[in-house]
Amino acid sequence: MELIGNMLNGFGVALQPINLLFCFAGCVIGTLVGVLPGVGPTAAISLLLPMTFRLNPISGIIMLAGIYYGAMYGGSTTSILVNIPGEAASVVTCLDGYQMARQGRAGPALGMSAIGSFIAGTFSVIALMVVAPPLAEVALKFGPPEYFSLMILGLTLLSFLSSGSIGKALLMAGFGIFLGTIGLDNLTGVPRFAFGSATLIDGPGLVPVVMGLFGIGEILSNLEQPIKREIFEAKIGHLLPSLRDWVESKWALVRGSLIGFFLGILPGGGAVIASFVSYAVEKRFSKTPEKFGTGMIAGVAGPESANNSAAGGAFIPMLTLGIPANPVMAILLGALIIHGIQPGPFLIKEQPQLFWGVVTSMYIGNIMLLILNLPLIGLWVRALRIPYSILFPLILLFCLIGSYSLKNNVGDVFVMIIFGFIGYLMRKYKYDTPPLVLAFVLGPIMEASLRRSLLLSNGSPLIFFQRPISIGLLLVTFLLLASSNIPALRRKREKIVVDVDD
Amino acid sequence: MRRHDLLSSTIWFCAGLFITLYAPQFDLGTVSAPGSGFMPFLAGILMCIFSAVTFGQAYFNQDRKSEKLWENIQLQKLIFVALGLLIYTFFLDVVGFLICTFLLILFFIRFVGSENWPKSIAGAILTSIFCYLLFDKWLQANLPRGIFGF
Repeated sequence: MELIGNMLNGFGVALQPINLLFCFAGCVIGTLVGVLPGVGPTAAISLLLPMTFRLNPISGIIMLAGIYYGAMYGGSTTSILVNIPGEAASVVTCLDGYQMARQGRAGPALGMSAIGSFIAGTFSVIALMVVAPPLAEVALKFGPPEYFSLMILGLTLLSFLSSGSIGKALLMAGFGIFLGTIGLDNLTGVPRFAFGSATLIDGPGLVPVVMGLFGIGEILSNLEQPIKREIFEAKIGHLLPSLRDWVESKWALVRGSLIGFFLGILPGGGAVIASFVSYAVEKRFSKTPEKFGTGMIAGVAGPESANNSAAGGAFIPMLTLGIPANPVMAILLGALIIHGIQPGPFLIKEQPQLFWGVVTSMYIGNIMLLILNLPLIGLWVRALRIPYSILFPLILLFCLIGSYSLKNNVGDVFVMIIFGFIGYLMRKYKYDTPPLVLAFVLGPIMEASLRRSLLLSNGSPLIFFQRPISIGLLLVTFLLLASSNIPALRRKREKIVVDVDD
Repeated sequence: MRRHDLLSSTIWFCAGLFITLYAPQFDLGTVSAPGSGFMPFLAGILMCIFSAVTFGQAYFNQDRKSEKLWENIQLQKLIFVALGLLIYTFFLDVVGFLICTFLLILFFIRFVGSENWPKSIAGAILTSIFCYLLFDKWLQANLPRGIFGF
């Protein structure tokens, strides 16, 4: 009964005209970002983050969340029609989606992808409503040692699942932790590594760093090579899948939703891994696995539902534990902190309007996205015709304005440009950015937890091994690190990495 | 990637070493009461360890296939973007948002995007006015006006 009451309150917030407007804006921008190759949801959210500072936090977070799950919807359009994934979570949709389009079945592929996304998105929102409050109750038992161990696990898991060498990913996590320590020490007020710079006294801001790494870095990588685009000129035709399509896809939708939700909760799991795992599972369950890659609708339904479900699942650790599961959640966490809201186990109790308002808005957003993506599909295809020579200056300009308008400080713009080049070089030399961003956001919380734990235990590091939850989390961390050295498991992980890169 | 990994991990190792050696200036504290330099010191050590691991993996890597990262790329475009961004940022406060933005977008569309002059000028005018109205007038972002007052 309490759940229904909370949901009704949430709908009361989400249905306010201003919140509906920002939810719609988020969904439209998200779909556009998903459709346009070369602009990911992380870059888009960091671009628009400064705009939300002048809004109330609920409207701001509703819009940013809309961009995230909206991008999951839009990403499939380019995968199916052009064989270019709009964002990484739709890479696998190219395999069967594009083949369906070549066979004149673009309509049912797009239809199934949108409907599957809707079903999975709705499932994940409902699961989020059910799972988050009890998890927050458990998290209340967490003290500084548990938080520290949880963050160590999160960073290790993200590094384990990252798309390259674990050593490089952990190196990036170390660099991210260092970046998080630049500026005034929260406990003692001592400025660290600021070198007398007024900009660095407050630390390099989240927005300039993320905009640089993802916005500028992505553009520089794209400009390096000429971008080729071909638009599928064939008619899309009717969008509703046939009865046979439904029969072939029904279990893929169910499995995709479940896989996506659970992988979405895991730090580093997220939508990309979920879509790949779902594809592999569908291939294994299929009676005709050899036909995968030739236009099987289950190969579209499974991954597309998995990536949407994962987008919902990713909100759970951020809203209940204050630990983001991926860079997008790290930016949302930063946004909440900038608005003066501390995400964590108290969020649901202290900010019920925000929690239930945002969660129910996701349900409304899913309905909006279904409408945006089915009847208006032609409009999004037209967006693909925007030449990159016009698009990239706009994105660069938004990055410049976004980082300047934070504090009207040119220093922040320089920080962004520097991180843009660091991001570009990281892409080039195959260093993953997500562990860096996650560690940068978690760094200050981690430092506070570590120092408080050591104060509590009079300097004994044994405190991390004496409390059951903490030792359990550290044990999982150790097992993960150890498993990366087991040849069979390492090969399996490397295979996933190769698949993702391809 | 072997040669590139050897180079990049050496740079990261030097960065980690610098952080580790510089952090004690902020007071490492004691184990029971860690000071301000404690966490950067740990982060620096982590960076040193994992850059050494990356270096070791690259060094013992049997794959001698060389990958040329800096060949066949449009280096001129990257240099133009870098210069454009830096010059824009240097002059933003002095010259003001509208003029700086017009010139930057014109430069990017014409010389990086390789569009013709009329398209570039139209794109630059529309973009700078649209962004000025959106951010300065609607969102009240207080964009710099510079010596010309706009």
